[in-house]
Amino acid sequence: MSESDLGRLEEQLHRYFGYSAFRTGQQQIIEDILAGQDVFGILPTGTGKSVCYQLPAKLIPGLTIVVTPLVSLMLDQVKELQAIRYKGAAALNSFVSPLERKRIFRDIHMYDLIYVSPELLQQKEVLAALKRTEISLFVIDEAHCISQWGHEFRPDYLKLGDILESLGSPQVLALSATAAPFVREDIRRILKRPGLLERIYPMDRENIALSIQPAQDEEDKLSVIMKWLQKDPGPSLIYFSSRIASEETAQRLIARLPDKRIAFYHGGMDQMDRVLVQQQFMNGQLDIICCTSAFGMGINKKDIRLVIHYHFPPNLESFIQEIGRAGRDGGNSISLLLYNEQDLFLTKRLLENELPGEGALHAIFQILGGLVSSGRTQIGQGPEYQNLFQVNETQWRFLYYQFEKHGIIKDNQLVYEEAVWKGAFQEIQRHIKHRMAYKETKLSEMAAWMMETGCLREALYRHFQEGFKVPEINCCISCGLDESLYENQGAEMHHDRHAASWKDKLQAIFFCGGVQ
Amino acid sequence: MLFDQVLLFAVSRFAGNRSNAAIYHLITGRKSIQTIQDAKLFHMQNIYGIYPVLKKHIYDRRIHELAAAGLIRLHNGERAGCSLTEKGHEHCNPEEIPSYHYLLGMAYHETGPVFMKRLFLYVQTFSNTANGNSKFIPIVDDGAAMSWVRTAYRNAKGREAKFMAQLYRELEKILETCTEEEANLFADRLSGHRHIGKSLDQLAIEEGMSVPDVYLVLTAVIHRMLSAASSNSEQFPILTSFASTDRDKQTVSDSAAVTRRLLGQGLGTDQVAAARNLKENTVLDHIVEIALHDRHYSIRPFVSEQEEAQIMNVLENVQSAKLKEIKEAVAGGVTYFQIRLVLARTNHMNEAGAANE
Repeated sequence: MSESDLGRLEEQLHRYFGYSAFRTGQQQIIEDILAGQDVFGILPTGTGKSVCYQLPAKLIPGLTIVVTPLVSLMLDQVKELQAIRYKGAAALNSFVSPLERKRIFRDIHMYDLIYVSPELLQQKEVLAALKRTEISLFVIDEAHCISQWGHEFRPDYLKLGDILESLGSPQVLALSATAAPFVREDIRRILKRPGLLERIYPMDRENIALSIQPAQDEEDKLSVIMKWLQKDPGPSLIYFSSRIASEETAQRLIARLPDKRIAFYHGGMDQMDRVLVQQQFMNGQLDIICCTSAFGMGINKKDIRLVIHYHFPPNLESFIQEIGRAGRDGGNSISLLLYNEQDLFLTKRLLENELPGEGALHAIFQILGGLVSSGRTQIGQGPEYQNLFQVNETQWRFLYYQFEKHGIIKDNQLVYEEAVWKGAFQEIQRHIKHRMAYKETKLSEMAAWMMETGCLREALYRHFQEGFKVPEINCCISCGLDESLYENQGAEMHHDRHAASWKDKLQAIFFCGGVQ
Repeated sequence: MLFDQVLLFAVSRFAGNRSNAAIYHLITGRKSIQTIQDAKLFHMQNIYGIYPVLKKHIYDRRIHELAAAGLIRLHNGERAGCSLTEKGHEHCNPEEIPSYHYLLGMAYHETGPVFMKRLFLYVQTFSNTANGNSKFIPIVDDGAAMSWVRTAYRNAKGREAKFMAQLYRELEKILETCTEEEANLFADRLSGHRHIGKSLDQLAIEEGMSVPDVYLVLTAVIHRMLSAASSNSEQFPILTSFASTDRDKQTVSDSAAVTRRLLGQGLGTDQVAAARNLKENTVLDHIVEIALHDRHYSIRPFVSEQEEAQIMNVLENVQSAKLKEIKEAVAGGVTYFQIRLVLARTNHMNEAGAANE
């Protein structure tokens, strides 16, 4: 690309986003896309991955589809685009009313960019609407979800390869912040795009120090957390593996640290309340959020200083993503993982619950056989079947996909053929074993890292890339940490208005431009 | 408090004549004929649909907690209901909670949420733009509310301060008639320039209330605003505009409309059923639905004047009874369908009263 072409690209960047220069990797990936390449971009969190498709969507004719794993992520992106007056973007998800959806379908050719969940792409109505227009670019954001979630939680991710074909095989851009070589291979296979051009940028973040601290029990964890929070570390996230734990710990911290502003956030909350908590944090009205993994993807807060893991995630990829939410402004930040031996069992149990066990699979096939012999061949994905087969939601989603894949279910009907069922049983059983073994490997990588006595940084990134930037100070707990670096980082507090009367509060909003 | 009182109130009104699920349907505003008729028959129009997002497991848990506390007695058996214990009767005094009196569920279960979203978004939009900030993230994710506020904003552009002053006066006037607690909850929920309102969970923790109580108190305040606006639209022009809907008239379902057209062409209910490949009972449901929505729809082809008078007579005498008991009490025998039709009619007769309650 010539100098003047680049100048033009930067001009467009400024026109749509107000930025004067590209950040690491953006320009290379955008150039690849404009040259018609299928690209797999791996960019560290916080470097503006979304610009890699939001800009091309404006520059090339036709529609750009972005497959996004979370509705909240989609809504955030569309809202942020609306806030910068980027027009022609919409989100398709289960919250969009049928009427609104019809309107989007009717005007489909007017859009540059449409976000959609992988589940919605399975709907005939959605596919038909998308087929009516020219699709120039098909983006899979957070592409590691294909491999990380596709096999159990979100089997619809595994069908993206077929969807691509049915949409006339448009150009593909897969984006992620973390993907080990094995995961990248898995993604290429599922998308049926062996030729994806890899553009990998190092994911290590030298401004995030790494610390692991053993804890005796819950109370011990809580006191470590309190010790850190009392030092005023600045905006902080605390990750939990369950919704209930995030709520309970938040409430305990609120009671014990009355001068801190603390809230919880998880996927079970009402949509508006999720937006409120998110925006309070963005707006500096909250210091600390106790959350599950539902918080963070797509959250663009630059000055998060501390990420604590109350529970550790089941693999290093998730860990790197979650700590990567800290220090996007380049400032000194720290990741603190609290570890207690019980946690390993807890995480293991959570993993095991994602898939049906061997004995359960046997029983499920027996129930299936019973259904067929009594002529009840109608079957669906609803919760009534979870009860019937004694499986949880995740397990049923996994099984349903497997049954479809192996020809046991066709168009919501059970189809019995002895040989097919026998083969399928063995295949599914083998697959479950294979997946469990894989997850256990990932979990033991995580566990091994937590036991690491050498440099944590070196041990963390060696699975993903060659080498890393060595921080001048504060690398990790093994290399030596000066914790005072993370003290007194809190910005000016807008003080709560507990004493204020409702009239004062109303007047502040109506006449004084918010609470100062 | 309020949530428990609403539950106790519903339990006392149903008095074991309906299942526990019926209370849940009532509070969440299920749009079935049975639930709407229950609300009217048992005089609980005020709490119909006041908590549409209430989760079933939260409801079930609370019912069991009230039973464990000895306030209600759970009945055994399939579809069992519950009734108040003596202690429950002592504790059931919803009228002592101020916000309870604002609730007008039957009138506002649909307008309420729309009104609230527009109000929140309007305040956030005008507060921001008045401060020169047009780049803010809307706290309400609702395409319809967003486009409504966008239009309102376009019409008010350049005069934002004037509109804000007016809306402030309207809110102040109403909140002054509320309790401090109610007014504070409402004020804390609002978002504006550089200030994001509190979530239900946050308000609950701060005020030491349960989430359902916060939700219901806020709903009650919204209902109070709606009824103030509807009784005095000149004094509350902006609040009145939030309450306006394109379809003030409720419409019947598409399927019921087709049934109505075919009936109008002279087909019998069995013929309509056959023509549409529906069960005849479905067609009868459609007729009740039509009668419920259109007060001018004649029920005469299905219920004679004499039958109607008999049913009305029984209704007046055995107020809180099950359909089955009504049926048994009518001499000469009528069908469930006929009873439901007459009930649909009495709804209209009560409607003028209900709106002014």
